[in-house]
Amino acid sequence: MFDPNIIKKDFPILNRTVRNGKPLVYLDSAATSQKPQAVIDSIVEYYTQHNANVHRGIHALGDESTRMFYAARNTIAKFFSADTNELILMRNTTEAINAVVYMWAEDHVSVGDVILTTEMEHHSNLVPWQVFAKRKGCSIEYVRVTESGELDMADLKKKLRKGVKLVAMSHVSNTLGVMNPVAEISKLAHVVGTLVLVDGAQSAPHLPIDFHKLGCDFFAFSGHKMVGPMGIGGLLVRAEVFKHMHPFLYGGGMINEVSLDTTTFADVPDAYIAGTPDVASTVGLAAACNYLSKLGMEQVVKHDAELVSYALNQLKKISQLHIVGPMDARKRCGSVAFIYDGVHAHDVAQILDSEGIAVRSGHHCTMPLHAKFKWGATTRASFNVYTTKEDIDVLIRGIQKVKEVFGK
Amino acid sequence: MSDLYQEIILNHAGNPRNFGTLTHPTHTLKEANASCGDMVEMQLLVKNGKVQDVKWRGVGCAISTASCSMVSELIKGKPIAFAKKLTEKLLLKEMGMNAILPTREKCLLLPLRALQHLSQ
Repeated sequence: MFDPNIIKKDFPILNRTVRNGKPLVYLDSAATSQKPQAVIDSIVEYYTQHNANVHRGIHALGDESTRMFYAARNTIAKFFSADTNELILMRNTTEAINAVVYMWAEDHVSVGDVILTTEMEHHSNLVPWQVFAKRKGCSIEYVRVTESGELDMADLKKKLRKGVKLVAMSHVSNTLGVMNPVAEISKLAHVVGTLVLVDGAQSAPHLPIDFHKLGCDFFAFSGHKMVGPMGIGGLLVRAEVFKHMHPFLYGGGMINEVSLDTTTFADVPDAYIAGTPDVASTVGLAAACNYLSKLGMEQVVKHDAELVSYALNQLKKISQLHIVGPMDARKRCGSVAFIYDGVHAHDVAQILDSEGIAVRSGHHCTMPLHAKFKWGATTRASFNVYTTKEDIDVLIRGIQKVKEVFGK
Repeated sequence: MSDLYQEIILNHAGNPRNFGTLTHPTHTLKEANASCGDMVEMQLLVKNGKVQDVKWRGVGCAISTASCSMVSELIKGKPIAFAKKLTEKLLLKEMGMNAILPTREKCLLLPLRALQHLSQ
């Protein structure tokens, strides 16, 4: 396996100090990951050497830019073992999920139908469906989360029935850290004619994803969580499902021929890219995919599993902490969130910050899950390829400071 | 250690003053920071333009708890006009600070936002 201490050197920001010279210990990768020099360089190179609009200019730069854009799209699709014409570039996971509402659900879900999602969803996979359901007069149902912080499969099987048009669920929960069996759920759903949307924001950075083996119909992801730039991500759509969708952004780039009376559209996936795309970020995301592929996603997932297991073991020794989500490390991925007994998560994060440690505190955009378990707010440490066990040791020492300050 | 956690803040956060409820409040003011899960309910007993008594309850971080506690002490026995006009600057001065980190400002302001309901 790769050595994360060597990997760290690829990420220039991890060299800096914060708060009066404390070395930065970045444990907020689930919010956004840091970027390796290779990704930063690819963006700089694009803008310093190749920038031109794609598909349009018959000139050297136009050719280069268009070629780079297509190559980048291929690389990103391949990273997920998908075909290029199954990938729609999006700004991020949230935009990808909202796009499914307009491109697919609008035409296929009506009064009396059901959208099935879960209690553990990020607001980005809950609010778009809640608003859509109110507008359409369809209903929204939620698969229960068990006391141990796992998806209640029995409840899912009970609620998954004819009339459920879509199952929208996260692959990995950003709060519980639990992995959901989306391949199994996709099989169950297809038996009753239900499509499946997977929110892959927290799985794409850590797990090897084979879109076809996963078997879902839509897979949404954000580039910035997988060492890529902000502002670029994607939606993978099963080729067959494209036949039942329409674009929701119309304009330049996505057309074939336009007259004053009618328009014919470009082929998939170009028909889904209206306007000038963010070529530089697409190139940057491809560089990120290459970076991760070079490490090998099989190695990345191993590294993550070791970190999660180490963090769980160290954190559970601290008596003031209540860990959120399953205690079995094998069921988890990417992060560990906890509650410090008697000290608010923001105060925990503030003390950790004074030690140079960056964590996330609050609701992590899962307010219904926090409300269900009556958690005020939680503190989350999350990892990526550059995270080391030493980083977790610093976190553990930082948590001791919380005790010193608050005397609890 | 963190400059934010001055002794006075830890003192109020650990032993919040005027915590609880009033039997016959004239005003009940609620405010929340939804994104943090902080919430406060302040109850005032106003007589002859004066805050005769004040109690508050809620859940929150050390900053919002200390802020609510200190605000309750500041306005008790004072004219209602003073409570309405209580500023962030004055509150910071009471806490021995000149400024607060932008990420924690909303914690500090929670009781002041509750008091703003007096003017609505």
